[in-house]
Amino acid sequence: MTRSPQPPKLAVRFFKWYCKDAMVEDMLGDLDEIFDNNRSKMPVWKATLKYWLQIFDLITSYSLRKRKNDSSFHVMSNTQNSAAMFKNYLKVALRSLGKQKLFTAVNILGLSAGMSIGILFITLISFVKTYDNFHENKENIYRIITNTDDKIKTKRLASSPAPLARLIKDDHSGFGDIVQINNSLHTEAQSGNKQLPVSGLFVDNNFLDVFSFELSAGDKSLKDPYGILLTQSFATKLFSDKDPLGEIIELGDMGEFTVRGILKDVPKNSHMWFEALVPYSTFEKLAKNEQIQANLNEWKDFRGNYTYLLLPENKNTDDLSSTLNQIAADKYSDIDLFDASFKIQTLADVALGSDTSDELGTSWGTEIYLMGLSLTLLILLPACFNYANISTARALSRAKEIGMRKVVGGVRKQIFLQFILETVIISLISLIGAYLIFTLIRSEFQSMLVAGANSMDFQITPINLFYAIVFAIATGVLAGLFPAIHFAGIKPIAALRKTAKSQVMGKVNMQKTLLVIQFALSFGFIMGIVVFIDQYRTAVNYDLGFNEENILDIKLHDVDPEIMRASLDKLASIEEVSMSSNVLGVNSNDRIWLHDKGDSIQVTQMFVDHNYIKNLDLNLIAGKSFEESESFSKNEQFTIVNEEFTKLKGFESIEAAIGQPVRINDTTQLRIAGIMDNFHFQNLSRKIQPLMFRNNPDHFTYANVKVVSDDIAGTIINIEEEWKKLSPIKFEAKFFSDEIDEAFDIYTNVVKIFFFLGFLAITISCLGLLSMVVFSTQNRTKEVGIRKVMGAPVFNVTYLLTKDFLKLMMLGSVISIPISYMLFTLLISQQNAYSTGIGILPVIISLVILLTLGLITVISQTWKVASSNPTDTLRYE
Amino acid sequence: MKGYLGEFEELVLLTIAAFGDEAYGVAIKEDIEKRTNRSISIGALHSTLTRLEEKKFISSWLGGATNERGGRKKRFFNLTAEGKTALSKSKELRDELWDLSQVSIKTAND
Repeated sequence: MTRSPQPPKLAVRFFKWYCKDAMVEDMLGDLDEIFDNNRSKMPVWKATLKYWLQIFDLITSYSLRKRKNDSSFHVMSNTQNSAAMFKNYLKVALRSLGKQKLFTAVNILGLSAGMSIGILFITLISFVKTYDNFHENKENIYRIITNTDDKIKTKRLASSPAPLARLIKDDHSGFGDIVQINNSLHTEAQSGNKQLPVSGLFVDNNFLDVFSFELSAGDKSLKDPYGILLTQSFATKLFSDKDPLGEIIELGDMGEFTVRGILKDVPKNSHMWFEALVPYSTFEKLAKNEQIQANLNEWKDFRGNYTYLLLPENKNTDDLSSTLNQIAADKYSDIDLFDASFKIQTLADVALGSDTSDELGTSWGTEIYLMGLSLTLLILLPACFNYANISTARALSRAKEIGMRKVVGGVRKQIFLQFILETVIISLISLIGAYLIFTLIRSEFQSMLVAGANSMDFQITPINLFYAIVFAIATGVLAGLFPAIHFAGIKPIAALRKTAKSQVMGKVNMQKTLLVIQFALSFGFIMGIVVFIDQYRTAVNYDLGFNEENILDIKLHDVDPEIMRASLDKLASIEEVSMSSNVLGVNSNDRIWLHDKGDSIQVTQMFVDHNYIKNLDLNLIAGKSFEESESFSKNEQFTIVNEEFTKLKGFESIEAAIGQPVRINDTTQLRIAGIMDNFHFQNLSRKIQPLMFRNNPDHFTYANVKVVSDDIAGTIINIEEEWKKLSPIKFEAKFFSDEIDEAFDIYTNVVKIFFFLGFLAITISCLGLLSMVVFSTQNRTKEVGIRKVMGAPVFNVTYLLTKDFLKLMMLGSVISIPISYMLFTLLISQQNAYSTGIGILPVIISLVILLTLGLITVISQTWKVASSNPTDTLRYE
Repeated sequence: MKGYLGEFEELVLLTIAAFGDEAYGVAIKEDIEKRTNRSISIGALHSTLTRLEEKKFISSWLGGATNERGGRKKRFFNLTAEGKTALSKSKELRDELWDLSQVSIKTAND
């Protein structure tokens, strides 16, 4: 009998493989028969092709899907009673958790720490989401923001020029209520002999109709131009128990105001914050009288001025957009090298994700999401890795159970579910721990994230709780995924025959990979801490170009600078007294635009007296300082600029700049009297900018006193006594060098956050490492016993047990070094424009720290095993 | 009556009925192909058979080992009582409609 052509073997095998345990014999039979029939009608190749096509036809058919589905349930598995299985899973899970106390503790600790960071960001984001939701008109309130482009830099400003609101009001109707706000109300509020700094807003009369800030007493109309509304807590601070309504407050140079109403405190989730409200019309009046510096007609001045609209119900914003585009085109198209456009923003977008500068209050960029997610993952991942590592390492102890389950009818899916459930239980227990950690670190983190800790409120609300539980379950699933897949794939025969490997440190496997990633992450954190400490040290010790030692900055408040100087000069321990408007390097950020023949440059200005340059050891490279006689005349004539200023202005040489005119505005023109060497008057994140010194005594707010006495404390007491004769206000003085240090607080905050997170990540990794070492050495106790009997010294055995882990640590570091190095170099260059880079030292220090920590962890266990008595270990069974 | 009887389903049911106890995959397929002069995919046929079985219109059993087709077993199908009811219900509906439309069909043919 000749062998007749057979159906393609590969196709049959493929089909059988695909169908697994499903009953498909009849289908294959059918296909065979068809193949046989076809063979007599067509060439073999065509019949074969048809066979293949039919295989695929069947694979994609409903009938095969159903058969596969049916076959995946064992005849004995009872799918009807899943509640009972669930109970069983729960019981087994709790039992096995109780049995392995060390591993359970390590897992719960790690997951708690990781999840606490997650909860922190859940509460943070949900708090940020509630921003401005208390305004009744929140659906219809819009803000006009400005995009500017001066050909060098584009900016996205939350503010808009002052004349814009008036223009819309006058020329375009139908846009509902327009509210102008100016935030330059920062001054001293005085009532009786009590004086407090106040920060508030100038607002249009309809402010409280548009925004829902609640009134608790008085009148909210803002009709009285010299009336003021105060918040409850500020009123209490200023007036104590007295009824504030109708009281008179003196606001710096702006005059006297009557308290007309008391508002409830601004809610923490408001994007704007104020202690006092004064009518906008008064602001315009004050600006006209030059009691306040403001340019109300300048379209190129955006800072501090805000425009909000309450559009009528159902009003389309397209009209407004096109009107704004038209206005921008009108006003800016003629200006060279400058362009600006207006955009509208809904109130909901204001606080979150607006990414604008010059904000009215707190605002969050979209980076908050990114930061939250990445920090959570960075801490959570090592914890999840621990879980995965430890549980797969423990596979041996569970293998029999799984084998048994499979034999009596458990299918892959069920085993998988069982282990996922077990992890979810752990992660839910960890959630409790995470909550405890969260309550501990909450306030600390609030103050690290934003300057004013009281502007935030992290609360566990029911909705947050819900998110936290969802988050915990997700964490559980994530952590349990690897082990569950691993366990589900165990072969029952191998498991019951005890040949399933416990798989501790095999060749290249998942556990090794995860350990390496953990070490790499830990290294990154350690290096972060080391690098930022290093940068902080160099930044604080950086030669800023002026002398800040032994100089005491005293706030002048309402004391006349001349009188202050006279009384300070009487004290013997004081060498020199100078006056200034700002503290150099700390808050010297009063910037103005100089317009000169179409060319405008932005310059930082500071008002100082004739002694200032000498007092701070600033280096005058050309010209001369202010004359003493000029210092106290209100008639400014000269200015002293830094070298950068002359460069930007384009003078041919430094000498040529002397005597050149500098036009400030229509009424003021100064001549350059001297030129200083460049020095760092801003923090180091910026390159040195152009700077000009002016000498108008009206602006002096600080007396800079150089103390030469050994008895510093005594001198300060003397000064304070002199002060008490001059003013009722509290004496405020700080050492210049301390203030400079404080200005570098950004570093301390970064270091703090890094330190805390790094501590968590490293602890988690070390715990994971510890349990892996415990496990792998436990499995080798017999081997160690035999080695010792054969004469191996303790040291060699320790080395043998340690070296695998050491290799992994090194590998993790090697992977991490270039990545961390680049990342931190990038971060540093943003923080410090004059940074010299990281250098090799921090890398070495970090490496040493990581290896020390890791080796301590590993050797603590391996040494114990290596030095154990072989008679005990060999008798182990 | 549960389940809607599709055109192809009805065809398969009737064919199974015609074969008596001898209806199995290839036989059904070839018979329908011969009578309707259209090609039927094996996947579609098996899916339909599975669905009909789910609806309890047919029942199936495996036959013994065979000499042809690589010694593989055949799966035979048989109509259940419910299947029969479904078929006759379907026929009744058609008859009713035929009676109603006979006049117009006749005139159309004239």
